[in-house]
Amino acid sequence: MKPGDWLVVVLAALLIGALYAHFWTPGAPAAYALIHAGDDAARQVALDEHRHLHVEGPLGTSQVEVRDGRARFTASPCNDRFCVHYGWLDHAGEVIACVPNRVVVQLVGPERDFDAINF
Amino acid sequence: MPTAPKELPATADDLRIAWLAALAVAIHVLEAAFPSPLPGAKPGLANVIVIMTLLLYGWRAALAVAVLRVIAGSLFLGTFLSPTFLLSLSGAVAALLAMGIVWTLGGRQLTAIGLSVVASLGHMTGQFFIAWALFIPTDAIWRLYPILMSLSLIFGLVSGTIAQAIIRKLKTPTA
Repeated sequence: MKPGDWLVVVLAALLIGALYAHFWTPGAPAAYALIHAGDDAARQVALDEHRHLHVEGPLGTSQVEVRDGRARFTASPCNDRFCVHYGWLDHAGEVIACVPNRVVVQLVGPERDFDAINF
Repeated sequence: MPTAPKELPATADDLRIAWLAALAVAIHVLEAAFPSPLPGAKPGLANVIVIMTLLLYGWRAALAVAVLRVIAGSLFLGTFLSPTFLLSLSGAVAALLAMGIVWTLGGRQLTAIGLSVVASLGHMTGQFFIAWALFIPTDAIWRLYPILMSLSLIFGLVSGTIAQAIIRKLKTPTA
């Protein structure tokens, strides 16, 4: 290998490092949560005060805990409880849903940040 | 009485390009037969031939071999003018452009290894950009880009090392 080869490899590694830094940086901290239940309009909940929310769905009551800029499901009347096991959400653009009970918690930042856009 | 078909004159250069392109096509088709563990990632060993051509016979021959490889390879695989073909072509063109720029900037300072890394990263970038612009216009796929570029760097080093070894063998006079 000549010196030029080493230069190319080093620059390539730096570029790839920068790409990881750029594309893998998580979104901004969330400002508030939008909680959707069934077909009702979403409820907007601030994330700075500690609260336990009871959200009614077709199967029963899902419980959502909100505090310190984060939100999580603490209980849900579904079978698998993927929503509960997912744990805390804390970045804008993140979404957890209890699909059987039709409850969706979506975190929104100061600017709306999407986890994906398709058209 | 039918006239005998007129033979097109083929120069030694034409024949050499045809041989090299045939080799590249064979590698391309063989590689397509192996399933890839990650969609979008292939070793791209056919580029070994393109880099050898660039170093041994120059820029225009390399361009001809690369384009012939994409077109003839897609005819063999049945992907001609399909999305796969478009991605393959955009990758090959981007790889050649990247190599061309680096070659004019400082080709003397490089061996096949450096050129291969540049080509491999260029290939992935061109292909990824076209995939995003035309087929999957979702910004979320850009999160895959750093992973695919890491693989490109590794595969580029591998094919560059192979090309370098072959060139060294070819330049050693046989006893």
